Amino acid sequence: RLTPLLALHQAHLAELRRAAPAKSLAKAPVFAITVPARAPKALAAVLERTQALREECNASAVRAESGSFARLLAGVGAGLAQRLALLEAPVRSAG
Amino acid sequence: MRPRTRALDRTGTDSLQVALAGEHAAVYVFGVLAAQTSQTVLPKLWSDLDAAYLWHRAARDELVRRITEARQTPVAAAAAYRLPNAVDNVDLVTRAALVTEQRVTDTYGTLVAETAGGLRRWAIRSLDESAVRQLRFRGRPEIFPGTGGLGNQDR
Repeated sequence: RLTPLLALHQAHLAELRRAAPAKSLAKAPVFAITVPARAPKALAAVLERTQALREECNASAVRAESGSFARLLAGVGAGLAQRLALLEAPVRSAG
Repeated sequence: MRPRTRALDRTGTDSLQVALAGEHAAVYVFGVLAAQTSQTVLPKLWSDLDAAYLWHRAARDELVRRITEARQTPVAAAAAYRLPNAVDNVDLVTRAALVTEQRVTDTYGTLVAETAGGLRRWAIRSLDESAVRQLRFRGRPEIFPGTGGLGNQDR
């Protein structure tokens, strides 16, 4: 169920690395993350972190000096928003 | 119905006008689509179309307000707009809704790039909401919604 979200993060990371000047890239901090044992809690933790990332992307887009980079960051945030919407409430068919 | 693009000034006023032209079209199209859809037979689709219509109408009014505040004359709506496709059945209505929403999402992506500060923040929120609304019309999630086709469609 989370495989598409992982692929999305990987695609975002690759494009952001490509778009950002190499010298401006900070080394990724190391987080100690404990994944809850039960699937529902683990999923909730993933959703919470993804939501936080989405908000950070949107906030960074507001601060970005480059308009095109701002658009990219907003696109990343919107991609996460779509995936969150699907994970939180599967879309039913029209009608 | 896609608004013409042209050189944008640094204040974002022109991109606001483009976004307004897009919202004028979206209001028209979603109004037609909701009218084509039976609230009784297809309550979910009708509700989604009606919600989209109301959202785009509010966005249109907000754009008019912001353009007027910038002492510009908001671009007027056309008398009518060409629908993205025929709307003879549910699938076609849904497709027209999706195409319209995708165009709006991209328009807000442009607005994000051409603005700053509070206006950009509003454009980001609008992009976000428009992208999520695509899913209600059978849109598939994208990697970078609103970026004019950057990246390919997500799985």
